[in-house]
Amino acid sequence: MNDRIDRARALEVVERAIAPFVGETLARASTRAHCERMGLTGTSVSPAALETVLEQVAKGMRVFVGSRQTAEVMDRIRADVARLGGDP
Amino acid sequence: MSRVGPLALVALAVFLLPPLAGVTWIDPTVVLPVGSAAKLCFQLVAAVGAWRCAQALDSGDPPRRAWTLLASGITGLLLGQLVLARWQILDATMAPFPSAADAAFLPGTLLLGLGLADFARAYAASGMSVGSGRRAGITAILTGIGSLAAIALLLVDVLGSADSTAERVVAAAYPVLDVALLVPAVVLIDQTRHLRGGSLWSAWALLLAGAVAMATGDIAFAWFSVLDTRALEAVLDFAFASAYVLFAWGIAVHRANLAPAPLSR
Repeated sequence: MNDRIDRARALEVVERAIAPFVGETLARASTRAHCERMGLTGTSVSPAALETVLEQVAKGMRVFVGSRQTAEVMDRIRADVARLGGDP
Repeated sequence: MSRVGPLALVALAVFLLPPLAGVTWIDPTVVLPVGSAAKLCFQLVAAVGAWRCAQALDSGDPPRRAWTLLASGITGLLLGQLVLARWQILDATMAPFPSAADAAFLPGTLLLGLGLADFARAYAASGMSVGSGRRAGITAILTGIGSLAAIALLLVDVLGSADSTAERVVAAAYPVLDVALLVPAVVLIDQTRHLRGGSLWSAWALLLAGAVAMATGDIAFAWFSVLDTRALEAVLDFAFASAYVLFAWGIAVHRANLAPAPLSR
């Protein structure tokens, strides 16, 4: 298992998963805003930092689609990120 | 498209074409019962859908209270329409005003507005990039001032009329509550435009179009009443059904978003 995850690819996974609900523009803007707030600007992120980003995204998604749908989406994201070589 | 979609499209065309074409010659004894029955059907679909949306959420989910308020509001409108059905469907005549229906319509409209306001508040605090709480507040104030200016003359006319006190108070309450519905609807329009391209945008576009149609239609209805144009009233009342079609359709699309999709293997 890698210690670091490619930031761009990880964010792409997150954006692809939430875009069907909130649209590509908001998916991209919100995910990038969470990263910037956490100071995650490098080319890679640690699994712990990515998990924090996911928690923030999940918090927002819960307001739009509720806990059950959000849990389903987050599971999909984690599975896809794990395939990238990380394990948030 | 949800199962409600195709039916809603046909219904929208049926309910909107006569008023858009300026038709005023349709026999009110036909328009009233048909419009009333259609409203009841779509209000029922919308109310059941909204209650199911609330049930699809966990107790700690921020939008659960908003869905409960929205569902309660639509249920109130359904109950009011049921009371009106006694005149509109059974006798094919305009209902008296005020009537027992207003005791359901007025709180129903208020609950609907509160539900939309609760959604707007939750969205502003979501951390997603849909606009800040400050922006939502400014939008609400500007819309409130604009809408109140639009109904000011109407209120003066209604409150200064020779009607009974009860009639004047109820007649004035409707446009005021319509403003309370319009304000959060406009805030939500500003917030949910950021969702464009997502399925939630379609859901909100339909639902908010219904809210705006209901509020503006209600205000227009009040103006027609003041101007004493009874023929237009019947046709506009018919067009009101379109608001409930949009509610039912938008809520059906929302429900699909709240339910996790079956896992594809």
